[in-house]
Amino acid sequence: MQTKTERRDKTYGTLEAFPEFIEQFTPPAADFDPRGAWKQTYAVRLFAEDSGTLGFLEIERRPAADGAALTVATRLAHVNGIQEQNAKLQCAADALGSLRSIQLESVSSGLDGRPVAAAKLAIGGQVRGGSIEWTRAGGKRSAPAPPPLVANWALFDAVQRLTPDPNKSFEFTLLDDGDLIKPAQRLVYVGQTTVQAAGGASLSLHCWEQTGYGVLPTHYWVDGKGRLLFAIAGQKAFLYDPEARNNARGRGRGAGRKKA
Amino acid sequence: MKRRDFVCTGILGAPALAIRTARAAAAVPPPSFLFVIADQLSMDAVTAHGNRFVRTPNLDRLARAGVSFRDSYTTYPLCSPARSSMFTGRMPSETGVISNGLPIRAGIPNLGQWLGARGYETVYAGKWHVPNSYTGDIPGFSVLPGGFTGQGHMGDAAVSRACQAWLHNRSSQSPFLLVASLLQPHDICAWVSSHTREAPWERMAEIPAPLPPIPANFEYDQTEPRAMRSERRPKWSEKQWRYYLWSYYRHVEMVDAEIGRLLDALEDTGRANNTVVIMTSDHGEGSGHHQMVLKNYLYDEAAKVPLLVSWPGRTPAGKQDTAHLVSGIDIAPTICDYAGVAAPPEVTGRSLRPLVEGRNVQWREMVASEVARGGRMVRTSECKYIVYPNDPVEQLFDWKTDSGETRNLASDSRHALALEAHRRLLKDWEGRLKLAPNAAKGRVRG
Repeated sequence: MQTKTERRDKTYGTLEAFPEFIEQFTPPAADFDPRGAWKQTYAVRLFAEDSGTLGFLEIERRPAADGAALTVATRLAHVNGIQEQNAKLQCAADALGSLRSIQLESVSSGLDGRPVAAAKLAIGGQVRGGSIEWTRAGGKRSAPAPPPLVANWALFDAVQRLTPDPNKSFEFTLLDDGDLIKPAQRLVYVGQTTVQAAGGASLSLHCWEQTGYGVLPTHYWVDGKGRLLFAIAGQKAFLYDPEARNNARGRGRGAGRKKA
Repeated sequence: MKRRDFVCTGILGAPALAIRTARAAAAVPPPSFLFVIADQLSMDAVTAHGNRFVRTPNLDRLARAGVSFRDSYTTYPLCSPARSSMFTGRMPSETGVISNGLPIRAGIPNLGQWLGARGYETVYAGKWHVPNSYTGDIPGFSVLPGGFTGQGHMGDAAVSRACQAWLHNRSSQSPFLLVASLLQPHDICAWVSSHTREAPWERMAEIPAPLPPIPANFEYDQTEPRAMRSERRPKWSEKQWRYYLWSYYRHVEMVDAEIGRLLDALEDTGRANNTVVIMTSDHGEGSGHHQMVLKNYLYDEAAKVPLLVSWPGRTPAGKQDTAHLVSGIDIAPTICDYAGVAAPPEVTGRSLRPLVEGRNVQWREMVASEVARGGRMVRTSECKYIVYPNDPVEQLFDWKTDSGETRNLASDSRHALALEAHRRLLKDWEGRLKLAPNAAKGRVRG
């Protein structure tokens, strides 16, 4: 077992930052159709901290004739409160599932669990050509969004449907966290690796890498069935865990051990 | 949410007396304030400041709409001490916050308490760190939830979202002070600690564009004081240094995007024209200058920070002020000045408003910074002087020929007069401080 310091030294932004999780991870056995209907839940963790799971991200996909609908739910326990976001995305039938529209609700609560009325917000966005028209609490704004505009949550869907090809790259504009537009993104396939999961079972994973404005290199790890199991960027990790949503209920505090 | 009750007397003074009569006579409503703080953002990590390897469209928005002070120094290149100065207008050795995790000493009001007692709604979101990094209880402020200690990657999104929602939901017409204290690009600390050893790193990302070059002042003064060497840990190859810079700039862009969310919210709610936006950072990042990373030393990369003041239609657009030495202690008196209230007593900073408005005022001849181990820095238009107690090595750099701080002239007899003048400036400056009890032993001279 590596010490925490050794782990920090070598594993930033990699699967090896979460050895306990990977060693105890049981790969899902069921068949998986990335182009069909599915629901996947991820535990949200921070790099090399002992804070455990901070919350969950759940994405449900429903295919449609002209693309797919994604329903997103996330809940994170911060140090001084809880943030919940729920979103519905309509995505086009292209390789990355580019965004057509989004509806998002965000609410924050104090440590007592009571929602803070002043921190509640509903956002709507409609993509029109090279821009997105926002509606936020009645206010409107149009912002440039060079196509294709792809939501961060839609990338969880896209990497499952892409065919591994090291010679192909995808250029796009990222819609991060519901309404942050981050241009000049790139997604490439970077290869395959094998990790030892629960019981010493070998788990073969394909890796996609995203880079661009305002993001740290983000690695998406997809199993042989096309299921996204892990997504890791810098200190942030999404780890496949069907129980993460249930486990997150009632948690009131996030990480808080470092002093910075 | 919890708002601490306080009585408008004692340290908070008498509000009725403090409000300037001129404002009442003119019947001009006082502006609101959005005070944006980044953590570990270097002066030169901004596109508007000439950096071609980072994209900061939202910091650039602020720079285009207002004034960017290019000779802006933190009072202490470390999180808590610097923040104590921003919110009090006094040096860390006066606030008592001489290292991380200490509270502002009793009897010194913070900006929230001061403006809250004078009719402002005062709201805080994000990192506080005097003493607790994130808390629901900040004296003088209502607190919006959000943030992870030491982890800006996800926390900042919640902080900017909470501020965005607050701006959209607010119906009151009373003036406000909203503090959005973001943590990025501070996550570079975790990045550096993960890449410190010479052992092979995890694979570098596949980057189509060239990596940023190592800085021109990569080499450094080999005779520097021992305490200046604390953050020269990595022994990286040139490519690794350049990859570190590339990574730092991505962290910078993350906070830039969050700032964009805040600026959009101000505009979308119709508040931009009556809101002064002030943006700064608690300290910078080594960025490979002098082969340094991180902070807590007095070279410019750690000590110099962006300081932007923008009020659409009121501030000169796109002005870069390179003529005035300004400091984190100037933020609180600047906000008080725009608000039309007197600054708290014993504030040592000065309002930047006359400089923003281009008025001809007599300005300070030097700016000082403090740092761990009792280190002190004096910057004048001519030189920069650095000294630590119990260390015989002093540093003196000629600012006109060596702003990269690579040639120490302190032992050069031709610069003896300048050295003595800067020693004297420091001594006089220290003599004017009203030191906190825990800071008295850290004095350098006299």
